[in-house]
Amino acid sequence: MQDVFIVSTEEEQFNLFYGNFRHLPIHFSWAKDIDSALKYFELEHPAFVFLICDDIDMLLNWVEKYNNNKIKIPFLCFTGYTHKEKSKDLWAAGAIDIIFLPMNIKELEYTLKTLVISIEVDKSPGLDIAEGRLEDFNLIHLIQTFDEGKKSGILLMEDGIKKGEVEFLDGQVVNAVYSNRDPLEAVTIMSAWKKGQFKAKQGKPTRRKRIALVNQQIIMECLNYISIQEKLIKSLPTKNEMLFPSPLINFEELSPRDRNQLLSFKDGNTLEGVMEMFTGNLNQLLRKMDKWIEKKWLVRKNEYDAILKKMKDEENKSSFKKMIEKMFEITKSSDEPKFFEAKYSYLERTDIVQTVTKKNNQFKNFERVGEFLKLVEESE
Amino acid sequence: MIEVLEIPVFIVDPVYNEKYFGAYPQLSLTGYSNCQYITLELNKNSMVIIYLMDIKDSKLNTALSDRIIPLAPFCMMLLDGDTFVVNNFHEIYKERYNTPLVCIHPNQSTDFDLTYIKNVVIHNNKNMLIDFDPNNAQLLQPILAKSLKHIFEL
Repeated sequence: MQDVFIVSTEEEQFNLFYGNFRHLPIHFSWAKDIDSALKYFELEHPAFVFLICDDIDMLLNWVEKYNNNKIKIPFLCFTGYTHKEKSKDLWAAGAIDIIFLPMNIKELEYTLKTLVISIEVDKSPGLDIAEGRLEDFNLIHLIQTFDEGKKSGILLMEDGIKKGEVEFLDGQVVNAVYSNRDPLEAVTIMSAWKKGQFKAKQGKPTRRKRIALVNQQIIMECLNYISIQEKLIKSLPTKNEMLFPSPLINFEELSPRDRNQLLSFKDGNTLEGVMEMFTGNLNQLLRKMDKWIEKKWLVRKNEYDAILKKMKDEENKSSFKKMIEKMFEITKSSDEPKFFEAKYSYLERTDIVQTVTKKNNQFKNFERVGEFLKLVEESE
Repeated sequence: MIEVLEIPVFIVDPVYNEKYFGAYPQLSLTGYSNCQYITLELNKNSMVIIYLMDIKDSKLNTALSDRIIPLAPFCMMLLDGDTFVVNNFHEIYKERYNTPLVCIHPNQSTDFDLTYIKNVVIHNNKNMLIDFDPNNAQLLQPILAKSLKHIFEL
């Protein structure tokens, strides 16, 4: 059902619409002049306004007032045939159509169906309100847009295999979902996506509020995340350079997460390739990659080949020579990386400790909490 | 049978025990060096025990904490004293426990910087921040009411 507000000095015009088009899914309201109509717009939020007046000067005056009050509701003008030459001014003032009366009822019905009812489909809640490419608008732009319009809805984001959602209530980010991440972290991660698509859907958020920060603070977090990411990327090899895990790494002694991440380079991979496929917090991975390169756990193609060759030579040496070398430690230079000594960094160690020693909350008796809540409230 | 609810409160230094909880006559020393407690009788059959646990030097007495924290409906953390120590303690706490944490902040204090608490701790939906009036002689009741309500609604 669409609400249409008719502004006309003559009640007969309202009766014309009300009487003849009752079967259409349109609800008509009426005001005698533009001043009284303007008071109702704030309360009624009609989908369309019909300005009907035979006197073109008065009609132009109404349109001027309408625009001066910054009313954003689309309006149609109805006037007499004799004023066709002045209709240009109405077009210029932003009327979506100008209809000259009198008009055949069937023809008017057709006009209403095409102009009012067909647009209703596009404006019904829950449907898409915008979509586009993240290359043109990143998440920060989109948060600002929602914020300015005080819109409620869901923003669907997609970057290749990565998909996430951000929920807005009256322009404020209230929740976000991306790959089991905390809501705020999800927003910051998605804010760094530079390619992909977004789709904005109007409607109330479906999840509860889980982000306490205001939009401005969220944007600051995002900018910080992006700036750190850019710095990290600059410190790493170029995006297209192939990297390999060093053949000297003992994968069994790594934490499961590190093992999986390093194995993604198993047959050689570029930074760009990893960034495309990685669905977690990219900054954390980039930091790790920086460390791995420093420790020579991740190496470039030429270094990788050199290590492989060295290992092969080692295998081919006679056992006697090996024994001699071992005795005098000829092969061990002091600056050679010692992969099996520094097995875990502090963070990796805590990963392991965490899985072994984390104590889950075993409290289950929430009924008792309710009872205590009552007692405490009574004792206040 | 007496129903007891045991709630640990982490406090950066025992000097704050007296400052904030001194009004409670039940505050008494226990056999544990880093842990005093307050008992709050709600009626003949129900009692809340608040353990005031010292986190000075960001160390947890794990033998004791591991027995209390996982069984508590929530823990509290007093936001007064050295911000770094409190924040650092939270880092250790979140690595080891996932019991909800209620941060209690005296509304008339202090130099305590709430940035980390607001951006990191409260970011977890289970945790919450409560401002309390330190001059209120019955300060525990409003804090407990808000905390229990939060936990009940989780």
